[in-house]
Amino acid sequence: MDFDSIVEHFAERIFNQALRVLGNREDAEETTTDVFMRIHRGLGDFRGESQLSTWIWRITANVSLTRKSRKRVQMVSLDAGEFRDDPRDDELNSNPEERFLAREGGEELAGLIAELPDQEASAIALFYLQEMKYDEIAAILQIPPGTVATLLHRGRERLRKRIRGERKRP
Amino acid sequence: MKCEEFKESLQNFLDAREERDWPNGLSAHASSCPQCRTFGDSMIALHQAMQRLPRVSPSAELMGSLKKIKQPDASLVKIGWGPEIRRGAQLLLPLALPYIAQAFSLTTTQHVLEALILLLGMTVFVMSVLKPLFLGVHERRVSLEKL
Repeated sequence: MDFDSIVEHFAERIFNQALRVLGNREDAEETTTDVFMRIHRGLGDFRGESQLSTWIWRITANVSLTRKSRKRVQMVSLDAGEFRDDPRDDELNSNPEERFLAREGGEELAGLIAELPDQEASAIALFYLQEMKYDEIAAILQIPPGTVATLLHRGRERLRKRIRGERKRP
Repeated sequence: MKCEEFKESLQNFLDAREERDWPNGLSAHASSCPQCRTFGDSMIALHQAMQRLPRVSPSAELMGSLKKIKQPDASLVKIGWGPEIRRGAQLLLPLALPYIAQAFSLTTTQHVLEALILLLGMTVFVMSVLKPLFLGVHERRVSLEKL
């Protein structure tokens, strides 16, 4: 597999991972480009001590989190009425959480994931978007598997509270 | 089962990505605890929504720019200073050629020194040819088989 094949195989997944962690398309595109530049430069130093895919995802996580820490995500403002109930929803369902989760193809939920603390957002995206297991996520984020579970549990709980309107910021 | 145990067990159940109804212990507690029932319903709704999160296609421009990143020789990576030595040897060799003939008719100390210089140059040349052995320069294939 050459560099072009790596692009073919990973580009869309890396872009989506970055999009979920960073929350906007522009940052996700720049992050994806940065990741592939690093893959290009670092391929010669890759020693095969881990799987190539783990190495690539580790670069992705590091680049995404570095960018996120430098340039904080433009938060979806909970106070600006982003979650204001659409009156039409009342005709369909009386549960505000379900209405929120069903709206706009999950884009609002995706925005909330990007607002999570860095490691929680990464773990949630790797678990749900990339469908990875505990040990894979642990290897990428370089944390114990037990910590992965903690990140997932905290992340879900934080999202649930945010959706319910318990406006405690991360 | 206590409420805290319920919440922990429910999270572990979600982590397992099992496509089945709640385990009996969870169901039993939820049926007798409205708060945990609500918690469980909302967590499962959230879990399912995250499983359905849409995948977004990267733009054609992004894909094009990624493919324009100069492709390295991904399967063969050279490390070390072999090229520099080889270049040096190429410069030295023509200069050393006049001495090769003299080296066969050594009569003076000066010629012995010249022969030593020649020997040094030739050694550098041989080392550049046999660089994997002398300098630890090596070629390494990057295994992509583990992908």
